[in-house]
This record gives sequence, structure tokens and C-alpha cells, in this order.
Amino acid sequence: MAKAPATVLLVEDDAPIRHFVKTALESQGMLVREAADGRAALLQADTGEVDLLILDLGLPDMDGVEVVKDLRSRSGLPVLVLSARSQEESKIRTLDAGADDYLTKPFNVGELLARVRAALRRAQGAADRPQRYKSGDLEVDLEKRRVLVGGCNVHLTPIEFRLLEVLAQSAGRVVTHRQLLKQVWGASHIGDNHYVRIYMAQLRHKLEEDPAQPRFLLTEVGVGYRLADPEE
Amino acid sequence: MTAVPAVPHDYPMGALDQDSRRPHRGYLAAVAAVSLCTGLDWLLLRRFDSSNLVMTYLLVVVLTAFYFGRGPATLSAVLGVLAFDFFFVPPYFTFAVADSQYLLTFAVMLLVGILISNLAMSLRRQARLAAEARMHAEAERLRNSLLAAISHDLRTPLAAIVGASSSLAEDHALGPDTRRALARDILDSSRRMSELTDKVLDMARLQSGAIVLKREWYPLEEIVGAALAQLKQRLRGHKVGVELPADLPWVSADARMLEQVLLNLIENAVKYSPAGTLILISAVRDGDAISVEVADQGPGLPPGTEERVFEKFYQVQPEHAAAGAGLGLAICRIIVEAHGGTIRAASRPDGGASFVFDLPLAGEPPAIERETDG
Repeated sequence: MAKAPATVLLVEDDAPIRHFVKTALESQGMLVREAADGRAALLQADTGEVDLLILDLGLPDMDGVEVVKDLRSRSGLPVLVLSARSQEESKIRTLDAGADDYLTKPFNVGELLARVRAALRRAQGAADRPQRYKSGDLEVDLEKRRVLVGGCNVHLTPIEFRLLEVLAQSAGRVVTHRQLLKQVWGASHIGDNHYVRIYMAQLRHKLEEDPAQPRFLLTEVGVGYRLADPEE
Repeated sequence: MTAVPAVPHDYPMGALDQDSRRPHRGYLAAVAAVSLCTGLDWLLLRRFDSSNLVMTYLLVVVLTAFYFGRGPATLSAVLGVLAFDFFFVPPYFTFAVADSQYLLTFAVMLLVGILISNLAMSLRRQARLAAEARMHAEAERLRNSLLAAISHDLRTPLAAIVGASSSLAEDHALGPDTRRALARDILDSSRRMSELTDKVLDMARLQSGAIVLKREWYPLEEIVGAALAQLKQRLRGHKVGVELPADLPWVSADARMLEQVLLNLIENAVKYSPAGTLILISAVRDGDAISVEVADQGPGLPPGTEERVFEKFYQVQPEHAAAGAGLGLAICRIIVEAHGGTIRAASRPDGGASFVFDLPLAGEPPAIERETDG
């Protein structure tokens, strides 16, 4: 089935970075539109002709968090945030506000394309949620609630499974501590980051060959966790 | 969140801040000191000439002024005069004075007490200003060294980037393999620049004031895993081993900073040990601390440099192809010490370098509601 090419809206004020991102996306057959600031980006996003927003956090006119919040009040358009190393706090706030993922500058083209693909996959899968996850020798069947490592059944507790399920539904994308706590334990546990850590450690010991060198359950220190990109 | 003041160790903290943090303590101490002095005088020195007893009260004023500042010192001067009058000036046990020459003694005693406390105060202020001046001078020196590091260490990869990219942009006769090789050179040099700027910025941030630790509880395994994942590409040529006991207690740490320590140590191990050798990351519980080691199988450290490697801008081999700014280990030391730990380097008996840091264990991670698993 031939898919229509994805249209990406790029909001970045540095010309060389804009040029490199545009070239990389166009070489993958995507269409790229550009916007100079947050307001212009929101106007273009509202036209409904955009599949993905790539948003630099250093906007001249408004806070990136505000752009995402405003956008999220109306649409589920995937948002990929570009941030500098000095913008940690606002990066996390943007993710908590509903941005899909982030890239810290400098990033290379491989990382960019992987994040773009994961974000677009989330948008396409929003209607029919992914029911399976597979990467290497890890297989998760969300419908039958089964987890296989190297073909062998692995028993998970209900919370472990729920945690893995939330990560699998966002496979390849970072999920913040706040989002995990809210979805697995409920809003009253937001801030109890050690809950997530205890269960992530348990999951790693059940699913990873070497929990100190995980291949699937990846940590983004200070941000959250990412389940490795699934095999297409 | 814990704030660790980034203050040189020779800063006389005790003498400077006590009275400003707990003012009532100084006044209580003044009352106690005068009472104690009166008691000792009464027991031991009652037979001495009363002018000698005045000296003991002045000593109390000097000490109070030195340790607690002007207010408590003035109080001890006034109390000293009153106690002296009450206990040692006839008629005893009354504030009445028979011989009017004692009025002069009182006046001089009070005046000297207040003068001393003012003098002590200005000495303390000078000490504070001198300490601030030292910190400013230190900051200035750091700024200059950072600028020197930026200009020297960033210019080398920059020169490679300018050279290679100008070839790509202007020399149209290059074959595709040459083009790809030049592009790779640009990529490598830019990574090096990026790493250097990160280090310089980290150091500037760590030295710019109080270090704020965002402490949370972590299993060390998770932070080691995150650091190794970040360095996956760089570690391709090496073997990596991780040995963490299953019952290793969790640590309360700022995870980003702790990850930075591991990144810097592992990066160093990659740089200074030959491809194909093992880099071993291990940890053990050592009494009230966790002791973490990053060991490689490279040439080890030249004898005598085990301490110097932690100095800012110190490089064992400045001409080494992979030499950085000489900031990585200095950053490690600042972070580990902010966590209350220590870091040291050694050459291993069987060859290779070993870096060990301790993280003190304090308290227990908060309990959680465990699920009952059917």
C-alpha cells in the first residue's frame, strides 16, 4: 500500500540546522514546510495538512511549552522537540505537556530519522493501537498479555506488565517519569519516581540478559524511559 | 534538594556565620560565659586584688566578641560590670558602691568591652572581604584558564573542520571515497568539539556558585546502564564488563551528575586503553559507603600523577591524539565531593588504570506499597 508522503512542519530559526533537517527529511521522501515562530507554527498546524511538528525550543516569540499546550488542547499532532543542552528543564516540561520526543543538539541524521519515524508511527497507530511489540528476542503480545524472551514465557506481575504495556504503546519514544506514574499508578503518585525505578529494575532483571547493559528498557537519566525501537 | 556551598576550605565558616544564623545562641553564650567567669573568680581568685578580676571579665568580652560578634560582646561587658560590682565590690551582694573610684573601673571596663567587640567585628568583616576577594580571584583565574582551553583545544578540531569542509565545498575533482572520508573527519572533529564545549560548560556551571544536587534514590545499575548506552558507539572496540552485587544498596544521588562522573571515567578508559581490551565497571559495599571502580587495561598512570590527574587542565599526555581539555576528572572530583564522597586514581598491580569513588550511604530509600502478585 503506497502511503501519501508525510508532511513535516519545521520551526527552527538557525538556517544551517533548518537546511540539514530539511535535506534529511526530503531525502526520505517527506514534504517539509517551514515556520519562523510559534504563532506561525500554530496557524500552519491548524490547517490539518501537517503530519508532524519539529519544534526548536528557542523560539523568538513564545515558550515551546505554551506552543505544545495550545496545540494539545485541539489536536494530537505529533511533536518532536529540538533542545540545547542548557534547556533540560523546559525540555521535560514540554514532554510532560504532550510533546512526543526530543533531540538534544547536536544530533546526527540517524537519530533524527529514528525519532521522526517513531513519532509518525505513534500518529498512525493512534486509531488502532499497536497490539504487538518485537525487538530482538523480546516479544510482547499486548492483547493476550503474554511476554516472551527467546521464545520462553516470562511471568510478569500486573504492575510490571502495565508498565511494559505503556512503554510498548510508545515504543521508540521517551516516556517521562510523570507520564509513567500517572498511567500506571495514578495521578496521586506523581513525584514518586522511585516507584518507577523499582519496577523498571524488576522488569530489566526479568527481560534483559544483562540488566546493567539493557538492550530494550533504556533509561534517559533525568527524563524517563524508552523502550527500544521495534522491528518494523 | 541539598545545597552545597562551593566555598574554599580555608574560609573561616564557624567564626563568620554562627551569629547570623542563630543570633540567640550568642546571647545565651554571653550569659553563660559571664556566669562561669564569676563562679571561677569566686571560687579561686576571691583573695586577689579586684583589679585583677576585672581582667578575667575583659577576657570573657574578647572571647565573646571573637566567636559571637558585637551584640553578645556588649551584653557580656554589661553583665560583667554588674557581676563584678555585685560579687567583688564592697558592699558585697548589692549593686551599691562604697568607694566611688570603682565607678571609673566600671566605666573603663564597659568602654574597653565595647571597643574590643567593635574591633573584633571589623576584623571579622575584613576576613570575610578577604575570603570573598580570594573567591573572586579564583573565579577570574578559572575564567582565564577556560578561555585558554577554549581557544587552544577548540581550535585544533576547528582547523580540521575548516580544512576538510573547504575541500568538500571547493574541490570538485574528489572521488566519492575521498569525499566520504573527509565527511567522517568533519564528524569526528565536531564530536570532539562538542565534547570539549560540554566539559567547559559543565566546569563553568559547577564553579559558578553553590552546587544544587537533585538527589533521588537510584539503583546504581540503572545509572551505569544509561552511561554505557550513551557511549555505545565509542565502546564498540572494547570489551565491557559490569560487576554489581545483586544486593547492592540504592544510592541517594543527583543522577545526571553521577552519570556524568561515569561518562567521564569510561570515556577516559576508552581513550587511554587499546582496542580489544576490557573496561570493567564494578561496585561493592564498603561499610557505610558504596565503592565504585572503573578499571581499564591500558598503560596505567605514570607514577606520581595519581593526584595531579584531578587538577583542572592537567593532562598526562597533552599531545595524545584524543587528549581533551583536562577537565573530565576535575569535574568528577567536584561532583563526587558534592555528594560527600571521595575519588582517587591508581595503577593496578596487573597493569591498567583504576579510578575508584565512594558514595556514602545515608538513610533508606522510601518504602513503597508492594503489590501482591497472584
